[in-house]
Amino acid sequence: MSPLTNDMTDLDQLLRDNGARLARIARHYARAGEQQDLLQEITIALWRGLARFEGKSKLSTWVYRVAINTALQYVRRRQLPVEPLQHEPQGATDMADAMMLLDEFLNGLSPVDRAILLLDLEGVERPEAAEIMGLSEGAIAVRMTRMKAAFTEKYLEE
Amino acid sequence: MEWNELRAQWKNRQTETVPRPTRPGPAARIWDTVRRRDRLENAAALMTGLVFAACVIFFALAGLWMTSAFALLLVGSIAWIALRLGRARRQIPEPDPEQPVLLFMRAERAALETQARLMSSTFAWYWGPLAFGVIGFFASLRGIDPVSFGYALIVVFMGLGVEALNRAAVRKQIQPALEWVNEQISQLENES
Repeated sequence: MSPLTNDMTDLDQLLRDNGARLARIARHYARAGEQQDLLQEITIALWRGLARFEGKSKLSTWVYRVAINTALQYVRRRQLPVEPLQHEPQGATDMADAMMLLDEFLNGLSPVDRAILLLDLEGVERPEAAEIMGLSEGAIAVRMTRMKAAFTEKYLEE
Repeated sequence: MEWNELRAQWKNRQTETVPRPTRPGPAARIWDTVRRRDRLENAAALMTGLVFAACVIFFALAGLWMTSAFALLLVGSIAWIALRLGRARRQIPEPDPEQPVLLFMRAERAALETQARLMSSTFAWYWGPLAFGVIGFFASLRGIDPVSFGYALIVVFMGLGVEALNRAAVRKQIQPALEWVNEQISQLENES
């Protein structure tokens, strides 16, 4: 069996359980059309690390760390700029508008702030987000509150 | 519209299919290349070192003490460079994506800083000692004449040229990467 096929069963299970959240992360760190490249890098990083995973943290914490760190490395290597907002801030009229504006808002954030807000959107609790980012819970709380308030004020309040 | 509604909608979005890994990613490839190059450089250093070690004995037996001494200097330089490279490689931690983001970013910064420092000073620790040994070896065999002098100039200018290219690479590639990583770290450390 080649090294690449080792742990493939575990990896398949991991990707089945986490594929959607990985894709949502990749969507906000790679240009349209290049998301598969980033997803490929994330899955390789997961595959390389899977054998070393000792269960010291939750599996989801480990998956998010690998995904976000790989995404940040990807942005650095490609020197991708933070995208400016394309729409004037205005009240969203329906959910589709709101999601589009949320995408724009996320892409306008710095890569690390984007990671923090993405974790909140994924429903990650603050203690786990703090563990993923290597920050205190307080720092996560302050940032999340500030970013959510900024988005709500700009886009959701009419 | 509430944030919680957005969050609920967020998870229902259509997403890309996640591929199975089929090839090493660029980050993995970089470190594989680094390790492969290390092995190649060590093998080359060993071979060259053995050749000059033989020269030390050969020229000493022939009574050419100066040539033998420069060959010995070259053997020493080669061994020192190999040790220095190995130590430098150990000082450059391979950033581990399983770490918390802040620690990962700090490891990236340490790796980039060490790489920049090494690349900006190759003449002092790599090319310089070798050039001194090679020029001395050549001149002791041939005597000091225009050819030896020209050879010395070529060796020195090649070393300076390599260092200039390295410094340009640091300025154009490593420095912007370092600035980007520093910016992310300062954002993470701010308010933490």
